[in-house]
Amino acid sequence: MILSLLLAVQIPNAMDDYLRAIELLKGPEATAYANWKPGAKAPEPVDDEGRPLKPDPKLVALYAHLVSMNPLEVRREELRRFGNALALLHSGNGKPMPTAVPGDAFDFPRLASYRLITRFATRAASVYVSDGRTDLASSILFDTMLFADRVGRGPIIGHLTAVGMTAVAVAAFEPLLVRLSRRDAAALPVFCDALLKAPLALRETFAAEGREQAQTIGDAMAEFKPGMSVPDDPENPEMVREVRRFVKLNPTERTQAIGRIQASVLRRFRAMDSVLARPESGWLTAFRDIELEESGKPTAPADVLASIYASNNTQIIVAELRTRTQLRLLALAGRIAQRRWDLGAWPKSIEEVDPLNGRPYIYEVRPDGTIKLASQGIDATGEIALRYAGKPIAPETQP
Amino acid sequence: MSPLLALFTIQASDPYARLAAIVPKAEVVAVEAYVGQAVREPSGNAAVKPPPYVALGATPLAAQRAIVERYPSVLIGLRQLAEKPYAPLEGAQPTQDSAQFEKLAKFVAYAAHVRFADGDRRDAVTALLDGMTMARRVRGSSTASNLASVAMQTILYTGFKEHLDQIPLAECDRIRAWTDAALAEKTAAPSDASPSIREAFTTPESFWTAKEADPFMRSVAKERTQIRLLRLHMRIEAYRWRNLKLPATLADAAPGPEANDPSTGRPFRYEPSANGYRLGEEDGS
Repeated sequence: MILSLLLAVQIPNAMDDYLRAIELLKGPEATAYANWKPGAKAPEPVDDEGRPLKPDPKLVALYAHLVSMNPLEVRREELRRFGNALALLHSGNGKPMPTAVPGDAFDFPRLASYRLITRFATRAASVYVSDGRTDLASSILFDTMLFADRVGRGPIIGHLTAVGMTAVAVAAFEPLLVRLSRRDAAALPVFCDALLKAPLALRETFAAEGREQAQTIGDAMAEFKPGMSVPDDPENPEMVREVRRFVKLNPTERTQAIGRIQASVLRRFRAMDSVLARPESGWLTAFRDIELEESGKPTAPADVLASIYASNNTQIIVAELRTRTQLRLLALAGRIAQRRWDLGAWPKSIEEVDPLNGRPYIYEVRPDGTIKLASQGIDATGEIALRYAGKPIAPETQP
Repeated sequence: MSPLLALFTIQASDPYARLAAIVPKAEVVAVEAYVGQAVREPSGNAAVKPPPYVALGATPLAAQRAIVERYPSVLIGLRQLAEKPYAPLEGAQPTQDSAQFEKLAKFVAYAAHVRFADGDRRDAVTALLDGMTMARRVRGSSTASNLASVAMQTILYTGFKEHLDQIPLAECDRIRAWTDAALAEKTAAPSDASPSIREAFTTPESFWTAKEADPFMRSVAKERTQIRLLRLHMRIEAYRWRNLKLPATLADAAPGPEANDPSTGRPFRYEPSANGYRLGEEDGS
């Protein structure tokens, strides 16, 4: 009785909403809107062997209907038909996110489809802006960034997916900046600063990735059956030597060896996590130090085997630094847009200093009335801008 | 009746003149001076003190908001008048005090800026259009009052131009409809015009340039050019909203005759660039 009552109580789960949103946006009709281009025709379906199949007449009719529309009409109709995905995204953001479990990292199709939501949100935002509802456009993009932040708290592959989603949302804000009201501009630093001050998603990523890799490496080692033959690998002689030693172990020794390898993996991620407690400007150097230390010292058997699964974490740090700088740039752009409203003109200069490098941000008011705003970045990132370096802040001029 | 009293009676009897009298000229002048200085010297080395009802160190936006909030009845009045037919009194020259009306136009431009800043874009556009309607209605029949009307329209036209990024698609279409109606109105020669000017108004607009030495003709030409440019801006912006890019040529956004400047017979200059566009006759204005 108690059990059935407990089962009847549905625990709110953000993923349920996110997955329902993705389901809405995955179908062929939603795809027709998402991939719309002038003159686009319905794709010609083929079977597994490439033989043509009969096209879906409903889909053909939809493409024929869309071909007569301008881009805004297409986006408006897309929003009318699939806008519930945005409501689901918003409600999902208000529910708890399930903890990442080992195995999540390999759900590539689901991770890839997260981007459907981001791209749909940016198209929907442009419709709201054309209606003069920049408040709604901002709110949708904020929801997208919150969603990305939550996805980014899983294993590394999820984190990198989230970095991409955040970059798309931040870039979508760029052409909107001159269209935002003062109130909407003021919301940008509030939102971005809150996101930047939240506990670092990357720390959760390292914890989740550590668990993930420890589990995976344990499963992989178990596949090396006692007494099995291990072929030569000229590129990894040390690893071959350790695996050959491993297959000769008795069951107890095998269990202990796997435990040591898993501990080595977790130790590596703990070391990376400790770096994140330092100021951001020192992350990259500290990470490189860890990697140098690992590559330079005589490696224990467990470390040799653990290194099979080691990722290039420097790239993850570079991506994280770039994302955090873009969030700071977006907050700064919001403050500059507020000052523009207050003054009736772009401020002539700004005083803010970029914590990434301790240098001033790049800020120029150009003769054509646009501005350039960017971070000087660091060697590993180059110049960082909201969309891409050098693009002035102006409404959309080209698709 | 003394001439001064007669002027007062005529001005006071015109509903727009009554609205203009609500906002003291000196207050707008004071805000104008403060805003101008604050933009030049944002660091706050204020040589010009703000008006008493504006906080010391207030931003230009805050100063504009302060004066707009002091006289809320002005915009309400403008809205009510714009919705009704307007018939100037016989012989009335409501813009006799042209400076007063110019300050009212400035007040309306401030009100629009404040509304745009607040995201109330429809109200902002309504204020500017109501202001333009007023400016056109009160031009009376003398050369002087027409010049005053054009000066007001220039202030309000600038209000539109400075907020092009803030005008949503539906408002682009509404403004364009207003410009269509304004350009369709017949322009009458002023009562004090010479016979040759009167005759000029019976010819197509493209012939007016021959008379451009006449201040009235010049003012009418400027007024109509500004309205045409406003219409073209709205065509371009609407095209940008619908197609998510700027038109490659003016003809892509505006039907044939709209793109042409009757004074030259050629299309208005239009230069799209990666960062925006320039539209105008010679100076890109």
